Amino acid sequence: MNGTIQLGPIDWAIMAVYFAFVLGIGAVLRRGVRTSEDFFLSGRSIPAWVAGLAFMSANLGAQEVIGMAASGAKYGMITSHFYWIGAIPAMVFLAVFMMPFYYGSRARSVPEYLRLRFDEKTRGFNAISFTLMTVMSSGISMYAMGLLLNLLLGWDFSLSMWLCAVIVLAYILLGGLTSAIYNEVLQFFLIVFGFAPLVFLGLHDIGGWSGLQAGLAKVAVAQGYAPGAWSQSWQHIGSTSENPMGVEWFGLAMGLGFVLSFGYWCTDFLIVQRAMAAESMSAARRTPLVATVPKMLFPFLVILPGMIAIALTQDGSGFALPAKPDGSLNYDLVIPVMLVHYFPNGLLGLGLTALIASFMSGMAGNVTAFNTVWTNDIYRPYLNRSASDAHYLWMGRLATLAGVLLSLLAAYLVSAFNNIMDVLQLVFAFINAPLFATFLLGMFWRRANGNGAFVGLLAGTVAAALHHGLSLPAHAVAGIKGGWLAVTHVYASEMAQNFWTAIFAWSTCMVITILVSLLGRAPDRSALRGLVYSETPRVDAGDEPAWRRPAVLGALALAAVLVLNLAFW
Amino acid sequence: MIDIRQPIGWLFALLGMLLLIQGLGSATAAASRSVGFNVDACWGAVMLVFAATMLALAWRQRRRAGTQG
Repeated sequence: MNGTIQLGPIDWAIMAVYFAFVLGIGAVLRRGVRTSEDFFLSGRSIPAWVAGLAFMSANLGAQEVIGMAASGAKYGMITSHFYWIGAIPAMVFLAVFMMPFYYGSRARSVPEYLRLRFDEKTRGFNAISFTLMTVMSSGISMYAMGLLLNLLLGWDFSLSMWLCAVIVLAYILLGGLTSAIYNEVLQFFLIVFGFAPLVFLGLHDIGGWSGLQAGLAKVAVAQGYAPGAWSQSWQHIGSTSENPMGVEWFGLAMGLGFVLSFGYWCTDFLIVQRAMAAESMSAARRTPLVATVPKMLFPFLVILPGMIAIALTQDGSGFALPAKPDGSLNYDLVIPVMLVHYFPNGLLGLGLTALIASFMSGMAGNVTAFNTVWTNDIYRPYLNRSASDAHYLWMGRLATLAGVLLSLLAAYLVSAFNNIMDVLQLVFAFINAPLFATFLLGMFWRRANGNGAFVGLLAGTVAAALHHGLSLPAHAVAGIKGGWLAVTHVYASEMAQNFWTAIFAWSTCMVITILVSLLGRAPDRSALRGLVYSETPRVDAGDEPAWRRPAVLGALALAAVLVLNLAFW
Repeated sequence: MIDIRQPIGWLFALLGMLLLIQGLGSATAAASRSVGFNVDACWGAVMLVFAATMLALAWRQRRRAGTQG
């Protein structure tokens, strides 16, 4: 990086306007927060299109934006699988099959669903692991933001973190989930408008899609792959040596496409909370489907800049990605460096505000999920069972403050111990993958009981840890990357190891849950009504026009994603 | 509860206006930086169109709902 960039008054003005709006929305919405349900679940009154965009935006933390652009540079079009194979099918499944249970059970959170379906200890396990993970996730997000703003603008690391933390804290304290949701929708449009010019200008610079393909062919060949390895998403995943990501199609489809994505999209309360806030069952089911539309188009917004960046760097003509001290390219800087290169003052302010907005929306998502799970699933059942609604509302606000402070603490921890991020990646995989198996069995097999679920979750988590301890990605040193028990298998890449850890964790949880459930007592059938597929009356979509029915919309989304996959085959 | 299209509309109207003014005010600087044309002004205009669409949709919704804003 050649020093920090110059921001003009227009850029500051744009940022100031955005912060003013974000706080203003919180202030206006404060009047609507009267009960704890208003605060934690927006009183279940959000229209599908708003909930859908918030659903998407809560997931869209800056790490997604920066990380996907980095992956686009490092791996090329194959990164699209995170979206087109990973996210979309999971979102459709959530909408069509799982939402009826989440929304119909009137559970106020994912852990609460687990209590209703299984038992208290399963809920407790999920609640505690989720709160820890979500706070750490928030902290990592803030740390990344502080680092980036410091690198890019020379802003003080602590100051930028605290400033954003205070703003997020303010608007959530004031307006609760509704405030977070409204701001997430705002942030969504800001991200689209802030980064789209980058794609246009970058493509213009490199000579359109054909110019990009030619440039990428040079990149691929220079690194020893077939010319199409960076611009085609399916043709080069027959074996791990054909593509820069080091994956093969089975590990990709099962590990990423099934276990990891479904595990995230279907069970992470940060996401599901937005659908639970919808105004009706059909709105709740449409929420993830609404989100599939921008989600399937996002590769063009975030992955493409990365691909353009690497092609230009290879070309050596002007724009180039900066290198790290060890000589390798610093892929994480794709978006910031391109912003600075292409955007004049004005658009630069917009792009930076969009970047900051994406950090803030990620953080807000974590904080609202935290305050809800803490208050409803840890405080209420274990610490103070019978207080008034006003008391829980107050606790929710206190938890918001605590959540923000804990996130800041986590951010400082991460800055002190850099390996924490690697550890956390693992923890997420260990916990999320088996959880999805638990939900599948819980929602579709009435014989699954509490003991089975709890033991299955534990077993799955242990299996993930074991798999990680016994395998190592190529070129890695045994330790935090794996192989800390013994190295019995070497994977072509970290990503491949990740996918297979997830597969093992999920499968183990599945098998153990089934076994333990069969060995124990079947749950009382009457208690399962509305919680399990076989015990719930089919939702009658009779009077809804066909094009609004979740199954139809879901099928359309899948068809669209099939077309996209074929187009970039 | 406020219709979310209103704050979106107003935010983008303000931002679009700022960009447009910036773009028109410093035409040469903007053009040289970004591959030969005035992106600030162009994008500012695009954002204003988006803002107008949002506000129009919000206004239409209000009319349909009668006097309940």
